[in-house]
Amino acid sequence: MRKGQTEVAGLLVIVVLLLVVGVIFLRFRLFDSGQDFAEVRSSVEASRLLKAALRLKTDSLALHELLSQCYEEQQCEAFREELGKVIRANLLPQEDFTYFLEVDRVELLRFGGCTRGIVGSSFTVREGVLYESRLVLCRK
Amino acid sequence: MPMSTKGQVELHETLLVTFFLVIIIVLGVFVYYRYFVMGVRGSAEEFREEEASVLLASLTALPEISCSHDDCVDTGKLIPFFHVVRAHPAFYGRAFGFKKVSIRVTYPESPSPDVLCDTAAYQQVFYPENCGYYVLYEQRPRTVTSTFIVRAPVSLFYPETGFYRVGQLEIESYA
Repeated sequence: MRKGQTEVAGLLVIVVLLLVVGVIFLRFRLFDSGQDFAEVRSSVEASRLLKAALRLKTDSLALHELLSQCYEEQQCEAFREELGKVIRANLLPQEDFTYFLEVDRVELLRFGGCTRGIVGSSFTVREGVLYESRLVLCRK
Repeated sequence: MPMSTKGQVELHETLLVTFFLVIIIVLGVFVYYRYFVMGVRGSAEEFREEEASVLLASLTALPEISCSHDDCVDTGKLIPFFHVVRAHPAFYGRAFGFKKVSIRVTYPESPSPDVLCDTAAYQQVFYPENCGYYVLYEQRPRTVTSTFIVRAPVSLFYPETGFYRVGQLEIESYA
């Protein structure tokens, strides 16, 4: 072997070693499964929040009645205001949301500040009408 | 002193290359070890978080606290459940470990958010307005090195009035 060839071989060894180190580094950085799990959990939380919110009933307020009123009388302001309060009371200060309401597959209401994020949904059937609620959670 | 021969120069060169190679290998091993340890620690955290999340999901289905008619938590069962847990610490300690499990009423917000809903609060006329949270289980280790909290919204049913509120089920996990 000539001297030049030996030096090229040495350089190759160093490059291979650096590549191995780089691959190990990327393996730990990229294949992080924790993110997927957190997203699944957030989606479940969003669905549970929707279900709990739509079941809300006190002596002065029943959210499912406001929901029906929103569809039947096309008066959604009270529903929008109350649901917004319930959702905000259950989010962290740095979290935001967008709520979608579809009745029989037609969008009836949409409000909130998220353009994309983690989605949770809830279905309710009342008097033969299918109400589909979707809640998108995102960071502010 | 005699001048270095060509052989000596090549020997120095080989030694220098070997020295740098060893440094690179040692650095590689060090970085690998560091990330390996970080990975193990991260896995442990993930495992604890997953365990708490599974508990979070399964707790609301426990017949001891869940509603018999709907997917909700029956607040009338929460205070008796805490007494049962205190009476059988070994059984629930094996099931839950070092954690604090509580439910906080979030909407409509209680006028007394920092008052525990216990038997004394329950017996008052103003219940449930006079308290803001329920403790279901609490067991701390002697020394707490780290804690983290997972929470999920729950629907709270009040059998005394037939009303529903919204709460947050919180699991504070100690290590």
